Amino acid sequence: MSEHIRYARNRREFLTDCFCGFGAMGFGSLMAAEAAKNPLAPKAPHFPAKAKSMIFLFQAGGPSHLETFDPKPLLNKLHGEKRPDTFGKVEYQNVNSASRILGTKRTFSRHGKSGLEVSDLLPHQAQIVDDLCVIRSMHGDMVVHSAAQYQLMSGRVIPGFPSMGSWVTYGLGTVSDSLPAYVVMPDPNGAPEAGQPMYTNGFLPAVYQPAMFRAGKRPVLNLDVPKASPWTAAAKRLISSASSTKPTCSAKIRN
Amino acid sequence: MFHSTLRKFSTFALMTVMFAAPEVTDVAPLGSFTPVERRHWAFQPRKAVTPPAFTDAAAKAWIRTPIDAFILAGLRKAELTPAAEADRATLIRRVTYNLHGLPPTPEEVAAFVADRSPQAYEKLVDRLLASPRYGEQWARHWLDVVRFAESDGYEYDTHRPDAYRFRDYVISSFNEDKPYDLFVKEQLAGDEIDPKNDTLLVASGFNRLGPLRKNQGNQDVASSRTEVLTEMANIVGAGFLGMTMGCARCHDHKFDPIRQSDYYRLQGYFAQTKENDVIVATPEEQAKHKEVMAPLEGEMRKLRGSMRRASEEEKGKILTRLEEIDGQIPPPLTAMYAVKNDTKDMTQIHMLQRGDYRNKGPKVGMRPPGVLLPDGAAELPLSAETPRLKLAEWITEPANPLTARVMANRIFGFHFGRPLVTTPNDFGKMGTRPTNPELLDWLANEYVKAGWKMKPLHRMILLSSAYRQSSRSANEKAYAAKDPENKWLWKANRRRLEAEEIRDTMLAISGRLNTKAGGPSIMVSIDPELIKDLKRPQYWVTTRDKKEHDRRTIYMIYKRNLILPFMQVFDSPDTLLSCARRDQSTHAPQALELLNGTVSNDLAVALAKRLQAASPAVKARVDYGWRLAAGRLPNERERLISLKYLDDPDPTAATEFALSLFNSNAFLYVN
Repeated sequence: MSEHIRYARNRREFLTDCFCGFGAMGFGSLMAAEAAKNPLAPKAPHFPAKAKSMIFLFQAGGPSHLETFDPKPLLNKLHGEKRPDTFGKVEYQNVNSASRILGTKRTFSRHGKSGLEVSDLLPHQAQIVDDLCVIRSMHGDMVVHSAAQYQLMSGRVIPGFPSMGSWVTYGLGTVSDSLPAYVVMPDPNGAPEAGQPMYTNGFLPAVYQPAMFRAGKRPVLNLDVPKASPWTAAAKRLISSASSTKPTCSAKIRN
Repeated sequence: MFHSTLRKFSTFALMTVMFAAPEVTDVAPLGSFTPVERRHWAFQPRKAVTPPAFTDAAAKAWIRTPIDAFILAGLRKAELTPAAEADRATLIRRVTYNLHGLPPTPEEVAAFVADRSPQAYEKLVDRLLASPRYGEQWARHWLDVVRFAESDGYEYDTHRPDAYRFRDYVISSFNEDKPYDLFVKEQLAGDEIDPKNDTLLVASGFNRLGPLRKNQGNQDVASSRTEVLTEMANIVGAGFLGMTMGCARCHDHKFDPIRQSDYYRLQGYFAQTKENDVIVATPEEQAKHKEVMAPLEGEMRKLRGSMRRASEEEKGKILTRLEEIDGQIPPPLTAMYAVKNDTKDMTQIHMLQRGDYRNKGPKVGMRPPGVLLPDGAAELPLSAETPRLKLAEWITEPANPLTARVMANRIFGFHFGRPLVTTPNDFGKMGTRPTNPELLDWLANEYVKAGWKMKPLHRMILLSSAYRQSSRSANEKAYAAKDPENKWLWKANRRRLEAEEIRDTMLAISGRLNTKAGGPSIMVSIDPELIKDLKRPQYWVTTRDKKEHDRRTIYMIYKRNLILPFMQVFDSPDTLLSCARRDQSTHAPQALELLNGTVSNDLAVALAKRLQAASPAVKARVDYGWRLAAGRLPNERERLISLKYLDDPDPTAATEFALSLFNSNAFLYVN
């Protein structure tokens, strides 16, 4: 059997078969490199892992912790008053010495076996509270949004350091060889203040950058063939050849 | 009684100190360093080395420049032999990419292969070094080191529309082979050398290249100033000295003999340094700008004033309106981004506990890192005149053990793909030691001797036999096992093209490259979803003239919060920290970018057209395509497959062929 009518059995063969097997993309060298050293190869963690994957929702503009899981009795006591001097110098954005303290109107009660306090805003979550782990000790070193976002994602208030997704990928690799190791779905309404640098790879190699799943018609860039390209027809041919029994190239070339 | 005496006494003591040294009371100790700390190799003076001598015929035949002697000595010690010389077509492609970041034309390759003169290669190197394309390629390396970008980064990522002037300054500095000591002085202290000289003012913008945090609301001025000073000081350590000074911001360096006081004394050189936008807009432009700005500024002032008395609800409205106005502010007047000294409003530099601007420790003056000075060396007061020029002069003293080594190492690395010290920004204990310390010292000595000029060093390296080796050794397997990293250079390092080189090459070979040099940066049209990554999408304004879109990548805008995917997948740096060496990672999104991306697909059409116009014969087209993309003719198999592929009535076949050339390893890699 001529190699030109070999059917693509997997991703590697599919890419090799594009263009009748020649110029097998930079992918060829990827595979060569992989054989020697795959930067995404799974690595053993320092501690036995309990989770296989993680979904991290960062909800900029979400409901305040003060009105959901983090009751602050003192805040309510001081409601309407000026900041006590003991709180130190005013260092918050858009707050001045004349600003008054705003308490919460929510009420909190304890739920589940853990007795975790949940506000009346979340009556349903309150019922599953024993399946949640709430961390109340988060602290930011800088008061503006962007700095806090960099700190949350990368551990530093300045941009330029790898995001935790990149670090996890760097440290643990991935067990999947057919799916991206690290995916970011940005807010379709626009970037949070800190923008791109908060979820990218910083100074780590580009292989640890996130796969961006964006909103709109092209969620993943370059996964599809550009519409305006005369390549579209050929792409269809290629894709149909990969997914059906048709050979990759036209019959004329096979002869 | 006792107390008042004490008070008097201490007042007197304080006055004495003040009179003796008015600027530096309550000073941090000047510090001393142990012999062990001083012993680190990089702090030792450079040795006056001579190239190793060889008597055997094989060595004599191989050694072309003294560099070869050092490399051969290393190879022999490791029981390795150099690879054979690369063929001419490979060589011209390698050296052209190395110096220009562009491929040689098929005609240039043919002429070089046919040129039998023994000086052919030397002539080629000289021709390439003399071309303005050289500066465009090597400026890129320096811009990576100094984290050049054209926006502030952080939340607003405000554009710096005039930052291109610094990029152009670097390109022309490389092209005119400006001595490195002068290059350092101009960047650190151009404004101090001559505040009337525009080129020098632009050069001094070096001090402002770092990311800059600007937010609305009540920013703490001192906090922002600390960050600005941190950016200015850190780059001196990483860029010029190969010292991780930045690590000593919060505490004494954990590994290297850099005290926290050393760090703040380095910051001391910048205590007087302030931003200085030197307006170059015409009086008419300035008047027009004022006309637009005045009402906006007036309204903003009014709104801010009314904030105090406003109810919570009103406050929200005011803030929204302020944001709106912010969006309407016209681009700033064209200016040169320079710095100036301001002794009246100087920042008193303190040692800051844990680097926090609120935890002020003892005051410091200005002084270079103590480990490079005698114990107890005096510091200068922060008010000293031309502080940055003093720093630059110290950095570029020929006897400075670090400066010449650090730069010679960078140059060597950009030629061979592997620097002698593989951590070019870190010559400290956590960095690597040089593979061949004698060679490093010899190169650094030659560099200084040649008046800190780079081109003679390039020449010496490029003409060496070591550089001309093939990227495949006859003993590939055995040597790869012995020296997998190719530390000893038993063959040339094959490399993938960098992001800029890939795009520039596609433009060049498809006949679309616009070689216009310099000027404001270009914004090409990009996927609208990408623009959403910006906090302020209005900043992305596509350049109107489409011809401008086809200029070299170094002339495309480089925004901190929107690195274009094409650049990002091919390891271009994020410009937030100094990047000494780019990674060469290989991953699937690269293949997707080249296969499906707009850049490659758009240019494949152009390349197909060019090939079609070149010849009516399909075979000639195939050959020409390979010569353009790979710098060589296709081998039999490649030619056959190409021919068969183009033998297709579908008109898209030609474009697909062009696209597949862009996707081939022969195109993407340099042997």
